[in-house]
Amino acid sequence: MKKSALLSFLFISTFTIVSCSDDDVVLDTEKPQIVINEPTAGQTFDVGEEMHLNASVTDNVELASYKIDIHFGGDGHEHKALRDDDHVEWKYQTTGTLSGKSDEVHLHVDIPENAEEGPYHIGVFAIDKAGNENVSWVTVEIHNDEHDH
Amino acid sequence: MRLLLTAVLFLYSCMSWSQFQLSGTVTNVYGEQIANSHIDLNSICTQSDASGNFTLSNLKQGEYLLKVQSEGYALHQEKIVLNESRNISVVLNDEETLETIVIHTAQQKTYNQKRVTQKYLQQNYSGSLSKTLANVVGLDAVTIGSQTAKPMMRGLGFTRMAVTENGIKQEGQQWGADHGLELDALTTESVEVIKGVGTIAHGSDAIAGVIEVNNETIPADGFNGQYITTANSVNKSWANALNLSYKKRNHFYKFKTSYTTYADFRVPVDEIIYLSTKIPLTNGTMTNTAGNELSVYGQWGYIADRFQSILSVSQFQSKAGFFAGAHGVPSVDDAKPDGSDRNIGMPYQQVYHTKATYHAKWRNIHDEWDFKVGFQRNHRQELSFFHTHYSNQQPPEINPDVELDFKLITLNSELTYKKDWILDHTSTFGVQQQYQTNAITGYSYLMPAYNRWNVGFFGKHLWNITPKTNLEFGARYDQASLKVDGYFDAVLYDYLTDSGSSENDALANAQRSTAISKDFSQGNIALGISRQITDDWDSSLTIATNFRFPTAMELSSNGIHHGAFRHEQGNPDLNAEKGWAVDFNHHYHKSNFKIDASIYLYYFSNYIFLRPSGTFSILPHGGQVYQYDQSKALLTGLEVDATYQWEKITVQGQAAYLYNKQIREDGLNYPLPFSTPVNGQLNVRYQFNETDLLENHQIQIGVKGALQQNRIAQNEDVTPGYAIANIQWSSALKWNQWKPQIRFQVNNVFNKVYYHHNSFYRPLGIPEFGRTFQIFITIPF
Repeated sequence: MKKSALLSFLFISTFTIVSCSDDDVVLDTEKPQIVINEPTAGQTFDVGEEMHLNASVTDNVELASYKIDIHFGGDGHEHKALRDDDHVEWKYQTTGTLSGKSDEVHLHVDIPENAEEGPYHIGVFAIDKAGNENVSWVTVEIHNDEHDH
Repeated sequence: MRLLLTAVLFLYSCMSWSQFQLSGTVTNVYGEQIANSHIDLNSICTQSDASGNFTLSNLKQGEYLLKVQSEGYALHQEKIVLNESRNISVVLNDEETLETIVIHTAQQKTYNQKRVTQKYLQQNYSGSLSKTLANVVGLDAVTIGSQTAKPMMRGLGFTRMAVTENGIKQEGQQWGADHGLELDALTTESVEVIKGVGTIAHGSDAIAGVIEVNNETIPADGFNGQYITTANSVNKSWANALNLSYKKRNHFYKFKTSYTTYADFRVPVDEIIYLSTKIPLTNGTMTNTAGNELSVYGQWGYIADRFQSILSVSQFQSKAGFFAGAHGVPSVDDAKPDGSDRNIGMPYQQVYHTKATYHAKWRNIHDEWDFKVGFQRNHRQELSFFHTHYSNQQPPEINPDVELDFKLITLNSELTYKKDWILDHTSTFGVQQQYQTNAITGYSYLMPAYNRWNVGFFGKHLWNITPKTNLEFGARYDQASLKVDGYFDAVLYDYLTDSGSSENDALANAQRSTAISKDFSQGNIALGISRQITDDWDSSLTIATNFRFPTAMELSSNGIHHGAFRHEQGNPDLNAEKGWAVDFNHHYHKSNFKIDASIYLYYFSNYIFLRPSGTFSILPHGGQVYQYDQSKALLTGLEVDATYQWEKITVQGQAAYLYNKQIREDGLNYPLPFSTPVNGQLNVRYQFNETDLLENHQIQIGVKGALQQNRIAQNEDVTPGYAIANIQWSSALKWNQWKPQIRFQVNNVFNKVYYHHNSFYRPLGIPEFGRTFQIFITIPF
């Protein structure tokens, strides 16, 4: 009886010791933070215009890279039926590197003349050196004046 | 040598001249006679007849150990001294369950096992079986919305935990976190929760343990029924269930059904922030999270002295809306009220789980054959208005809104033979096979079509070394063969080449899954010891290996995982995940106090996990690519559950602590995903005096909480700690012969905003329910 109690105690202590020994390497599970300064939500653009894209990215340790993803945000089929042949759902992707604890993404993107009008999602992805990832989205409107006439 | 000698002596004693007789009657504590109980007197044995009587003749004078066993009851052991013929009465106690406090029965099982009764399930009913069981210490649930959940044990879930019903493994757990367990809580009869072991009897997946649902309990004679109705304010749910059974002589029949309808649920906040977009929630309503659930169960059983046969057929179906405001890119518009809080609009999921199981047993006094066969069809669909990330994709002509469609068909069979040897030795041998095939359609692609064939052979041996010490060991060998279909996404290929991607990139990304044909084989062993240390204290120690075969997704997928919005890349070189589990369980029970404490450790030599690659996916909407990889991992923890009864007051408390990490060569020992935080609950119950109208009249106040979870895997969120208060009042009304039981409950009394770490909606910043009112009525007839 006493022996078993002692054994149990030993067993439990072993577990506790295992549990308490902490890792030597510093682990980073904090995601980078992204603030899209430009464009703002609901901002409108005309086809052919130049879009300014500006985002501030910060991280607790070290930033690594970003990706910009712009794509059409309409839900598809209704738009497809209306679409002129020479209009396309515009899409844009680019990646780049970031460094330090704080960095900025600054881009000028030309909106093509034949871009389909409607809502567009703009996504700014960022990853840090440890592989933590975050994404921030903003939705803008692209107008095609020809449709208004 | 001594064993042999004893054996010979026993054989000799059986053959020698005898003059006495031992007869008796076996009953339970309510005085009901128990038929077919197994009676051992040293090496002589018999069975009780239909009226619970038994007789053993030709006995010699001497001292004997009497053992009486019957399913659902605790083992009865008694020393018998025979100087003359005797007639005795044996009273079997109910098997000890989670809520038992008064009766202590010695634990005979060599592993960590808890029985959960139908009563417990009904008293703790929380919408789904998984969420109801999450009240058992060490269990948790991955929830999505108000009604759907899948179980977790010690931070391990999905294909790292097995759920069985009537001995057949429940399939469908390989789907993602947005998919629940297709078993209904209101019609479940009893559940056994086994922690730490399960591989020998269940094979692949039973790593954390097993939840064994038993819907094959044999009903009482005649017609019996129970009607349940329950409603909850948080999602305006209303559930109705009917459990009927009829038994006459050798035959019995059961019919069980339940239907639940629920509206959009509400949370105690008026806006959430998802991917840095503020999404307002009108009156806290989670638009389009309404749904319904239907379960129908039929059973026919035949039971005789030597033979038992049970056929069960069931259907479980559910339809549940997804919160559209955060289904992909944040959408403020989709979170606005859609006119009705009961409609299920797009996107939604629909599941049909059809199952048939047959279970036969041939029993002799000293051996038993057991045969099981099961058929399951799990049909899951996700529907969403046709949408695409590839501008060149056209909607399909048939079923244009079916985004994903999986048809998983599984056939299981199992044959076991159990033999009781003389002198307390029992061996079991078995063979198990499973065939599974998955077919896919839908305009999106998520997981490959595949088929898998698995056969397992196992044997185990139980040795009752002394009446107080048991030893069990087992071994198992599995062989599996998996064929995964390749899938080339031509639309994606065109899209990528049109968008200016290189030919190589386009080809690599458009190959959504590679054809794989792989064979796996795996051996496993287990050892368990149980010891009754004193009259009040038993312990069990189990050491076992475990494993699971990699899933088709883990081996072969390539693309954006629809539920997690991650680009996941399979790894065809993955080996079977395997490891060790150690579970040390203590049970102390003295009069009105009992405590259960378990300490456990799991070690994985190649835990399968998703590693962030640091490289962006070229797919639209895709962040970085995550690759399936393997590393060592460790998981350990402690669970305590204690109950103390002092006159009319009962205090029950429980706590669970869990620690885990990967053990990687690069030293980056990140915690494993889905780690349940340190959690616990404390409940105080007061039992009122019985009155002319009310019996079993009680009120309970409880606090439930968790500490902050900051040990997270990469790309998980830190979840703050919380404590919420609950109150419940329950009573049985004495109305003629009817005794309807009523329970009224208020959860989260102070309307606290808190988060559940393992909720599918957690990364979306959606909190748990605020103050909710629940009523639960059971009418037996």
